[in-house]
Amino acid sequence: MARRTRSSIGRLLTATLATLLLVAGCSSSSSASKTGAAAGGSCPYTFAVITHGDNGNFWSVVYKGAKDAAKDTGCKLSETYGSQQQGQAQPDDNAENAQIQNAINAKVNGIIVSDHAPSVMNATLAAASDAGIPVVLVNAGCDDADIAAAKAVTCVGQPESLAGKQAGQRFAKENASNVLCVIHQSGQNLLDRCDGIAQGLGVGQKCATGDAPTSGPACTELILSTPNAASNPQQAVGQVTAYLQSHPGINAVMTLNNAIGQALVTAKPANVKIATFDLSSDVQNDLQASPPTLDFAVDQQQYLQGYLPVEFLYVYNKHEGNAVGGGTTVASGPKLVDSTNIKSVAAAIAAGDD
Amino acid sequence: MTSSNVAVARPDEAGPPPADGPSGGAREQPDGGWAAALTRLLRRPALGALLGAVAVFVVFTVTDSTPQHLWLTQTGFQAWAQQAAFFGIMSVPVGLLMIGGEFDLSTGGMTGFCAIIMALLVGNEHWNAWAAVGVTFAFGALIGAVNGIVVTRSGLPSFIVTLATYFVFRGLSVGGVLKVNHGSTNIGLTGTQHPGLKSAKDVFGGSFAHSHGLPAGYQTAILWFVGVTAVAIWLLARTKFGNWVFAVGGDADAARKVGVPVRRTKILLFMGTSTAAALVGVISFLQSNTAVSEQGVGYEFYYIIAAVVGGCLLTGGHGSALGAALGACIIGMALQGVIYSGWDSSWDFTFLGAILFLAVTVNTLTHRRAMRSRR
Repeated sequence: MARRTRSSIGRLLTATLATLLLVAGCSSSSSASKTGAAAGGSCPYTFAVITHGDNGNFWSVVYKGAKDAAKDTGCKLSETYGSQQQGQAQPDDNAENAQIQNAINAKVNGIIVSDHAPSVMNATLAAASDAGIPVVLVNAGCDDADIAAAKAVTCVGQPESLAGKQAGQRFAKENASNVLCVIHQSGQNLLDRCDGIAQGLGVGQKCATGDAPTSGPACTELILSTPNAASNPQQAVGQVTAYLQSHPGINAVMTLNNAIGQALVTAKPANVKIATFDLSSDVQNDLQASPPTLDFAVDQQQYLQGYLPVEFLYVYNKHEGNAVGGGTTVASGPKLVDSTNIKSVAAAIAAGDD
Repeated sequence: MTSSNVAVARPDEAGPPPADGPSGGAREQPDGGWAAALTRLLRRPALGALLGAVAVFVVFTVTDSTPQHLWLTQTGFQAWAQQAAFFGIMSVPVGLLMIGGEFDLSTGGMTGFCAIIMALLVGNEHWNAWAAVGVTFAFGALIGAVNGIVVTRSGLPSFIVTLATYFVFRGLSVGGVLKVNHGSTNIGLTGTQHPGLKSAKDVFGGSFAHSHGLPAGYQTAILWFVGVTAVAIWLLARTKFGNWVFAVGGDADAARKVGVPVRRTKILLFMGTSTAAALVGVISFLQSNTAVSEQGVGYEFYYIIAAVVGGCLLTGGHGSALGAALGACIIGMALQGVIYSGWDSSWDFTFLGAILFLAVTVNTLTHRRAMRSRR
């Protein structure tokens, strides 16, 4: 009984959404034709965008990339936003999997999806390919095994351990090699980043847990337990500060979330270099301050994670299965941004493209 | 009916017995012997929370593994008091509302939404910071009034009504912000001219008592926490309104029959929680200069945990403002203490769950026993 009510609500929602999308689609295609269709003609394809993300800072830029690419090519998006609804602490992988199935049933011309739970989603994604729908993974699932298992064209994302490694190498170069890696929520990708830092510092394959040593090179993980740490940076920073006070040997902090990085900058801990993953306008200000209050930021250029897959699928559909990537990941990042190159990135941030 | 006996405060005990504060019990006449004194003590809802807070403090004093034994220094105190303040400013009015027999699940989302309003007005629109503070508080009070009026007029459970409010604001603070803030959900300060910002920061997001041992000082948020707690204790123990709160939570029909304005009391309580949420939003924006859409999500349950640990019964009619404040202190100590102790902080949640269960068990048992031994 409950199930039936739920599905009828779902049907109603889908219908409403479809109507909205139809309206949005009409208006966007009309505006595209007005701008003279840079792609040289209208694109008859519709792609589904399915992610494990929310609508926050990071993912809104991905979606903007996808929308811009759709505008540039004239293709349509049947947008299905992320499975992590606002107010949920974690993504809902089963919901995302169901959305993939919906997209297959709707016979879209391509699926852009973050393969957040490969064990759940790979089989569904392989079924999409079998049904003749090309799949491009984004952001999550960017390793060759998952690309093969999902029968995907490619994956557009930032190889996390590569990003960590470059950050670790940079810390080592700056003689700030006793690094604290701050983990704000659960997720293999975050652990991979920290492990990458350890590799970049040359202290083994894994970032250690527990007490940090008094001198580096070393990588130590701190797992935050403040409720919803990413959304309450000031409070999360209370825990980071406490750890720094009790481990005075640490001379570098890497935050994996830009809001926490910014809040840590505001708290002004003594004798540590601060770096963060991902950009924001605050991060930009910190890098542009003189002297810069933030050492560097790791930019995964997630705009590309929205933009490129649309282009790839367009090319794939239009030109008889021309597939980008060769079965491996197309790296959208990492790009290390610091005070020397922030100017060029700043314009992109201002436009909401980074 | 029998099961609700525990929860129902008879009108004659609504006043003095659950009174808070050190002076609350001093007026009672000693009516003989150790047993009576002990019963009086046990009847205080804040007792469990006080014992719990002391126990947690002692545990972390022992387990503190920092080289300088930070837990017992000003630095350690500042660290957990700052965490506690964010929870406590909310848990105290949430506790009052629970004593009045209602829930507010919109509190966490409201703190974030109010921070967003501040950020939009000050950061994007370049308003005078004090005007923005005024608007934010007015907005908070308004939402509380709406919650209260809907709950009292419709007779729907407050659990559902405020859950709805919560989701409405989650949507607004993401969708709305994306609309007005160029596709980003993170709002910071733009431009250079910010009238009134410095003085507003001093009051809400500043620090005081800088010293050699603690160069950064204590945050003013801690003072607000103490202030909110003091006002709530006074309201409950010394005013007619305090008696009304216990009465409407114990038995709303009985309260109505003896002339208590049930609706007005409940609406005021809802306005209390949402105005406190505005205060937290104002403080959090003025501390950091930024607001994020997802802020405060999930916190409503921590506020309820703090209030319940502090002796507020889920069924209403019994509880304590001081207890709710102590409950917030326990959460604050737990978050910082595990770091100083060098434990894996993932266990915080388990720790909080255990504390919650223990506190509720102790509170219910002692409350039941104490009420029985009154006869």
